[in-house]
Amino acid sequence: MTEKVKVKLLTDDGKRLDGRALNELRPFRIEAGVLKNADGSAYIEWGRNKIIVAVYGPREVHPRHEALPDRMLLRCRYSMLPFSVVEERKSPSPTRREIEISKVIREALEPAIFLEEYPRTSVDVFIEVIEADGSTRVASITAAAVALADAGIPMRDLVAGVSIGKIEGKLAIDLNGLEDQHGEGDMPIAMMPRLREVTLLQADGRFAPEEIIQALDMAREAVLKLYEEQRRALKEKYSKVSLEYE
Amino acid sequence: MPSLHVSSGQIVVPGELVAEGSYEVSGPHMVSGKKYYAKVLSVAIVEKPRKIRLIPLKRSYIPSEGDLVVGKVIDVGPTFWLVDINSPYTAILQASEVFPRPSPTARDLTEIFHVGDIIIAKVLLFDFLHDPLLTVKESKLGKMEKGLLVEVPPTRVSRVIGKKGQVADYLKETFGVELIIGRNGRIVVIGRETDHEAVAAYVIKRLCAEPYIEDPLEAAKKLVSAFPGGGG
Repeated sequence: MTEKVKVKLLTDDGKRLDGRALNELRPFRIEAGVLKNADGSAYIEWGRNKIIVAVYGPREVHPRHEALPDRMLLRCRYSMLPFSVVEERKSPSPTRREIEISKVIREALEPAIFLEEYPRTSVDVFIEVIEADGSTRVASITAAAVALADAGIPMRDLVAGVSIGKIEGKLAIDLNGLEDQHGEGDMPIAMMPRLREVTLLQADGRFAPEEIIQALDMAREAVLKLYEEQRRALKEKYSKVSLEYE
Repeated sequence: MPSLHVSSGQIVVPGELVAEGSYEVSGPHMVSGKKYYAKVLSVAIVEKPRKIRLIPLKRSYIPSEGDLVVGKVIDVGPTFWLVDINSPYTAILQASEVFPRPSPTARDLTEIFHVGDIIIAKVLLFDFLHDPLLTVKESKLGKMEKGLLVEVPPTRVSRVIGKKGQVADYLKETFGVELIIGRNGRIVVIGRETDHEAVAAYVIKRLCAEPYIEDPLEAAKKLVSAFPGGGG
């Protein structure tokens, strides 16, 4: 078994290697409706992450036997492009990790959608990671919620997510690729900001109960900032409407 | 204490608080206690001090019994035609709606409607459990033999009709065309000359391009006046 290389992730003045404080998010920007062919779409840049999401539906389910008699079928596909990672070229075929992430993203989005409004139909969410630098699943969820809203899918609330990690024994928000790889733990959290309900909570590493409570508090605060950006992106796309009305 | 959280013409995102207290809210929304929230991405219009309308910016067409729809035949079955009605639900036109009994053969069906034919039909039955059933038994229903097909977002069809059909009547009179307005966002324009059809189709397209128009009739008149000779 190879031993994990220890990397110093905090400088002497307590800052992270990219100069951020422990509770500081990387800069993020969301754009809604970037694709003409999709029913709804969104693009997110979060640190060095670049992710595009396309939503198709509600539409007829193919194959038809997969249709659910009482609700809409939500399908998600998270996929990383071969050049999205720093290491050697990623194989374009879906890996175990991508299949798992597709599943958790679907489960994080489902509570926010009124699935029962369109029985026997499907909504397909395609997530393409163009460039990855840690916390891509939460960035994907944040962009996918915008794309779903852009497609006119009825929702209870938007969904936004952030990862909380542990580096050198301290909790840090929004891990980048290096911190994710060499840190002591990673806890992706997604929430419905208005309803304050958690839709995704995974954890990798050791966290004490009080650390989990603290992580949730940190995530709640960060999710509200992301929510504001999600709203801005959606409103900006259709701002022409408001202007015309005035 | 009632309070309004939006201004007229404001875009609201799913889950956004629209109003609190005794308000009359129409359009897709959800209620929790006495709070009204938007359910889909919409424009909020404050019609009266206590009346708010939420107009969805995008929405699929959901068939409703009695709706006039314009469909495209996508398959011919042994006793039915499958019709795309621009909805997540593919419609069925049963052979019994066209032929007198006894049931016809598959060859008979293709003699009436082929794959790719555009048909004007009415929704006979729809209950979400089964695919919508269509009928062509009434007058003016059946195959589209001539005219121009215009596709617009289904949420914006009502503005082509206008209040008491004012916009549709205005367009018919101005361009001397006949309009068959499908609730599913497909409109057939039939005129004596193709030029008239094309101009009417252009006006309809432009009328439906913007997510919200306060006065569709006024907007239609403005578009028509932009043409040399005022249309026709």
